Amino acid sequence: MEPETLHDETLQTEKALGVSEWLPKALGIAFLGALLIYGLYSLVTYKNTPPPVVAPVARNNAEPETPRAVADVSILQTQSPSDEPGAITADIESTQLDTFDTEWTAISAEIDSFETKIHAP
Amino acid sequence: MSVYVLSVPLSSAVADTSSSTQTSVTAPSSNSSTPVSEERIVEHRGRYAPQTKIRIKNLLENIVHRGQATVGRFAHISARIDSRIQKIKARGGDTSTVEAALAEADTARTAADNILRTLNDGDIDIVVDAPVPHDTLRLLGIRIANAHANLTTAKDALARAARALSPTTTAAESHATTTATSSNARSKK
Repeated sequence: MEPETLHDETLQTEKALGVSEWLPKALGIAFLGALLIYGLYSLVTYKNTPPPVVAPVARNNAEPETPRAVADVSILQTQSPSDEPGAITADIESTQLDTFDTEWTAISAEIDSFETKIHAP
Repeated sequence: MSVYVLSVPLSSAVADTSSSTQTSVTAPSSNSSTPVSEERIVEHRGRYAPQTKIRIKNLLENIVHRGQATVGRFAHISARIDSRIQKIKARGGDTSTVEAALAEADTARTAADNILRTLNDGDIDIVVDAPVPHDTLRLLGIRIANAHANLTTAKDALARAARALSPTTTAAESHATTTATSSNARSKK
């Protein structure tokens, strides 16, 4: 009985050694495969993703009126996602349309000033 | 419904203005007592125009950004109303009034967007370089006013659509509740 047991143990040890040889290889291949699939998936997702919506930030626009304009844009871009009539009505009513006037008044004043300057003696 | 369309392009309008005013480049009323030579005006233009252009371009940019943000906001509200319409339709409700108001809002919003897309730095160059900048600015003002009027029309139409949405929703929901109650009562019997 003893030699048979020894023989079994040897066989088991050999099997174990076999596993220890192919298991890292299999894991390595599986890892590389997963990496490849992830890479391809990322590439496809990147191609299908629309460019992010960037809030308009004025280029070199350091006018005193600009911070208010940027804040207004930010407010306008914020609204509820709900399609409940109450939420929709609230977002419509809170939309301010008279904010164009500030800039337009400033533009008119600037042109007035310019005309005065160019016609100055 | 009143949708305001793009007015005359600034470049061609300026050509008309310049031809009619070329012979009488006069100072604003406050300075009209002293005649100013053409050379002096040209010299002053060269000195003050660059700074004026930068400031006005920035101010116009603020107007355009506000306008575009409003257009985007209305587009999103439109999509939310449309989502509600689909739900009401699925329940068998009548949405024709809401849809008509929504279509009006979308048309006005698109018109405003189209006008805002045409406003650019080139317009400011034309205004500041015009013989009488204020006259040319008035033409630019008409375009901005038209964009503003279209946004106001869109806002009013969206408000009407939202108002029409509420009773429709209530009616459809009450109809659905009544139907459910009746069928429950029948099943109890």
